[in-house]
Amino acid sequence: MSQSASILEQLGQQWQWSAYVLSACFDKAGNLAFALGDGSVRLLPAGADHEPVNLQAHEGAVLSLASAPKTGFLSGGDDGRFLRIDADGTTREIAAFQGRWIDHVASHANGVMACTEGKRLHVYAEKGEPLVREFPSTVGGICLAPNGYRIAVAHYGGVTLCSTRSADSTPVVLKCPGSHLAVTWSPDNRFVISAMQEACLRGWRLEDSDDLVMSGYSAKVKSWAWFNGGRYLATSGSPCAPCWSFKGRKGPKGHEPLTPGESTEALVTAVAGDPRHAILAIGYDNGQVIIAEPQRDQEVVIKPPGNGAITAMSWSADGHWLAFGTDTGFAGRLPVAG
Amino acid sequence: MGKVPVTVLTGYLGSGKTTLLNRILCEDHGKRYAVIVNEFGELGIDNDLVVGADEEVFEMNNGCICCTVRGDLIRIISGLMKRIDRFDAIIIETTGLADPAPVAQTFFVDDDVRSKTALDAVVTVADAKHLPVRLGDSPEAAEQVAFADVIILNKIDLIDEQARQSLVARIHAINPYAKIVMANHCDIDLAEVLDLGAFDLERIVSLEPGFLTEEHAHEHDEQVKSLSLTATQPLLPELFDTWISDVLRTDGVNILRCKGILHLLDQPRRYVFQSVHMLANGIFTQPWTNTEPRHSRLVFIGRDLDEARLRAGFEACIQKGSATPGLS
Repeated sequence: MSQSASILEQLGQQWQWSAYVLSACFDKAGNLAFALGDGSVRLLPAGADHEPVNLQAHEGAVLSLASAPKTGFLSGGDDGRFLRIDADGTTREIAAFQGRWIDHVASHANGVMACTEGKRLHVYAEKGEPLVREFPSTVGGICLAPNGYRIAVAHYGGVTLCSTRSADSTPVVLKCPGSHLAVTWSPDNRFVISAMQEACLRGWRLEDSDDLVMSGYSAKVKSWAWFNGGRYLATSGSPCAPCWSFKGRKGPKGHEPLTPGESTEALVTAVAGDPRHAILAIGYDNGQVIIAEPQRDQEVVIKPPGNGAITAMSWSADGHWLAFGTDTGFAGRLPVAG
Repeated sequence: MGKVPVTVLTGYLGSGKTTLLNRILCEDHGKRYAVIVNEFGELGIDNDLVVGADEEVFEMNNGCICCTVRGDLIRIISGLMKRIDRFDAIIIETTGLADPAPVAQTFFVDDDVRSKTALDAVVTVADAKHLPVRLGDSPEAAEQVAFADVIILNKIDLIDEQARQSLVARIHAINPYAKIVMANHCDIDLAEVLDLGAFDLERIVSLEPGFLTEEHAHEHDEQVKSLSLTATQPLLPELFDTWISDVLRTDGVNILRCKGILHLLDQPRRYVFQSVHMLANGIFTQPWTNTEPRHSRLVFIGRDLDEARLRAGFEACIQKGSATPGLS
């Protein structure tokens, strides 16, 4: 085996920290943040090539990280605090829930910010009182609609779509027995997909609630990414990265997924896709990261196995950068397109 | 990296459970604990990593009607795993009214939980004076006893010797392999409750039925009771496998727990088996030595066990006409 430097070492940057990296996130301006299990958020402004700035944002672990409405980030921690963090490290507390965990955070460019603690969803608009909704069970995940007017909430028994602007409007309930752990909204606004405890995906076409089942996974789907202009949804949870096609009217119904990144020894734990092109990054539980072109069967290793399981991965909105992190505190950033 | 051991601590309010919990947390054993409590803020717990649970029991869509898990524990444990350097072990506190099965099953069913943690033991703290009454009037009390690996009979000085003996016999009729520890103010050696590996098949070396179990199993008309089956001749692996799968599939709702150490035909090693309701696992462990008798023992704990049918099914797994298992 050659000991030559990996593509990451040649072209990118890498860091070793001391805690679990649970999320990597680019904001809309290309600033990068990593959230860690020790409560820190590591910030790297767009274009900077120095060591990320260490911001001790939360007291326990950071549990969730998302981009903020314009620039900067939102974070939630097991200290019960919901924070807005600017790229320069300026931090404001949006809310605090004593003794609770902030499990999920999300935002939309229109200014809406949301977080969940236990069974409750809190939605904050630019102005007005926050909206609070309680669900029958703990919220598994949230996702704002592409237009920002609704938010999808995954919970036990299905997914509920609620208005972000009015507490009085009647939510749409998409029922499906079992525990729903995450939810995503297709960029074209036509489908809502949830990930279940039973290692499968369920989906609904919103125009008629026609439902979808995507199964065959060997583990829970914990990472997914819409890429290539929203034509595909790439997923983790298998020895490859199944990519379901949403090009047609019926979505993936009746179509086999593309299966890039097939591995005999490792499980895919994280995916991130180029927003516009059919290019995908795939991270494995053995620490390897590859970039694949699923339609051309081309794959390049950018980081060899080692440094723990890939637990976080993100592709910047402008398509230029890929970032990832592992459960042992290793993290990297790589330029991916010219 | 080893798996994080998890101790489940159950018992009614007033049983002394909080006293024991605080002893575990405060004693100088060099271990740091994360504590998952049932009702956050209710108890005076002296620890900096305390998490409130919501006791959300979920059904799994795996075709198994009794397969319920605690969704909140899956969420909390995966959250705790993100700061695993801050503690060495986890304690889950549950109330005396909670069904212990979903807690235990969570550790069998969820891959993330199973890959990072290992259920060490279910420890039940009971008020020695009140337990006999509870066993009579609440089905939960019997389930707590049935699921326990260790039962601490607290406030033992409040009952006399005769009552103690009768209580021990009654507990053993429900659960013959529970370790019973007598205590006042939970003044026990913590080694009795921690790091037991009660669910670790590698560490189950013997299944000695409790004192007078078989003879006294029907002395009390318990809703939950145990049934111990033994065989001195080897079992045929494929017959046992088919039979036990069938039993757990059809009666798994009523069989709370099952443990066995089995001598399978032509196998030099022990086959150790356990189940919680329908969820079962088994592995080959230590070889039989040349001096010990190669006997199989299987213990069921459950409600409405059909003793005759279970016994007949078990005996049908024995190789017909085989000679006495030899020292080969």
